[in-house]
Amino acid sequence: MKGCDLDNLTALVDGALGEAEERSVLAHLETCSNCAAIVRDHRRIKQRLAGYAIGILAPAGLANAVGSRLDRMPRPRPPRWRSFGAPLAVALVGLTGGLWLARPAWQPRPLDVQAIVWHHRHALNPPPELTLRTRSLASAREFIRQRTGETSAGAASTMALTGVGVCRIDDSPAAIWMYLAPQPVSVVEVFRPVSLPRGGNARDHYRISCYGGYNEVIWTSGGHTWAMVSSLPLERMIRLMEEGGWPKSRVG
Amino acid sequence: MEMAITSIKAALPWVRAAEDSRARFDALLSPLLVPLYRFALGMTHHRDDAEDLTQDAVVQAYRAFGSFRNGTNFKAWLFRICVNLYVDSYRSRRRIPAMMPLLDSDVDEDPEHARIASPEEEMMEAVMDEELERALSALPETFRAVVLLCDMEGMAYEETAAALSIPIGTVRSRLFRARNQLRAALSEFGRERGL
Repeated sequence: MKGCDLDNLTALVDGALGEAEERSVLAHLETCSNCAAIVRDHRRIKQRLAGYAIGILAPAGLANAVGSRLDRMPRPRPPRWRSFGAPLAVALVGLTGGLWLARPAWQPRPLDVQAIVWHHRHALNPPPELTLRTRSLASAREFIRQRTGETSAGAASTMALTGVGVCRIDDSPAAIWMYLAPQPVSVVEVFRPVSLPRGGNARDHYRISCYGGYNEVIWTSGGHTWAMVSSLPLERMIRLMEEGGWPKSRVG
Repeated sequence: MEMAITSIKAALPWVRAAEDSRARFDALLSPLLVPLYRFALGMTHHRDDAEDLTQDAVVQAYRAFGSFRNGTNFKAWLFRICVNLYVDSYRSRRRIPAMMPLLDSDVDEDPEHARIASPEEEMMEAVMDEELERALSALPETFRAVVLLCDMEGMAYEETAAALSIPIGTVRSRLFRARNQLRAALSEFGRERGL
């Protein structure tokens, strides 16, 4: 018996061996009379037990007795979450998807920002002290005029930005923008020369600036330089820029 | 109005599920009632206890049917309930193993298995069955349960393992040892009869 795999003998009797294993055990039985006798006897026992089982019958009335006991019991209910949880989850997903699909087209939120685009030589080398805090466009112009020596107010472009303001600014490669925003950022001063590279895939080149309450993205596209100002989240603005879907509230 | 309320109630998913559950349970139980009784009889050795155990196991299964997951093995699940119930409630009722005549006026006649046998054949079979019953009842409970499920009910190792909450390897080894013990006991009986 030493070296005989007894578990495999059981599996052989029960037909639970794979082909290769069965071949191997059968080959073993050729040489091991002890195991062969075990397998033979176990098979007989298995057959006898199966035959014996067939002869055992349930008492008359067992099925009826069981049935009447079950009749007196409340019907089993699956946990409520299972009976309506799955449909509810499907409905929620559907509802969310539906709401997403049926969401209204993006409407720009009014953003009361005014901007002055000031073409000026100082823009290329701006004086650091050029900072203005005012809510008045007129005073902003005056401020620029005083600090830069620029006397012509006509040199300034004014953008009235609503929601997303996109402005083509490539006419002013060196410029001063002044954005005047309402509360809580009463006045924001931006002073920036534009020096974005041109050519190639223009949308690869863009610059992002974040100010209190709104953001600015400047990029080049179609041979022009654009500036977008909005109180939207920056990611949304970049997506708008990349999709080219910005509202053309071109002002100047 | 009452009818409307009834129909609204009937449309509720959990009420509908409850209505369906009895029919589903009956359909699943129907082919297993006799095997369950056979197993109970093999474990308790007593007809009345076996009937009680069968009924109690079915009632308990029905009560828990809400938590039964479709697609899992109902047979193994039902037998596991029976095994647990036997261990918890019936094992302590140990009685002196009673020899159970298989065919008497109290059991259903099964026309499929009805056959005509000579008086000698009947006597020989009765003797052999009695020997088998004695050999079975002499087995330790853990071995007997495996033999009852695998050899009498034809359950696969996996089903048996699930019903008894033991690993498949244990099923195999218990089965080997149980058959060996039966083999020894039956050959002893054979020697006693001068065979």
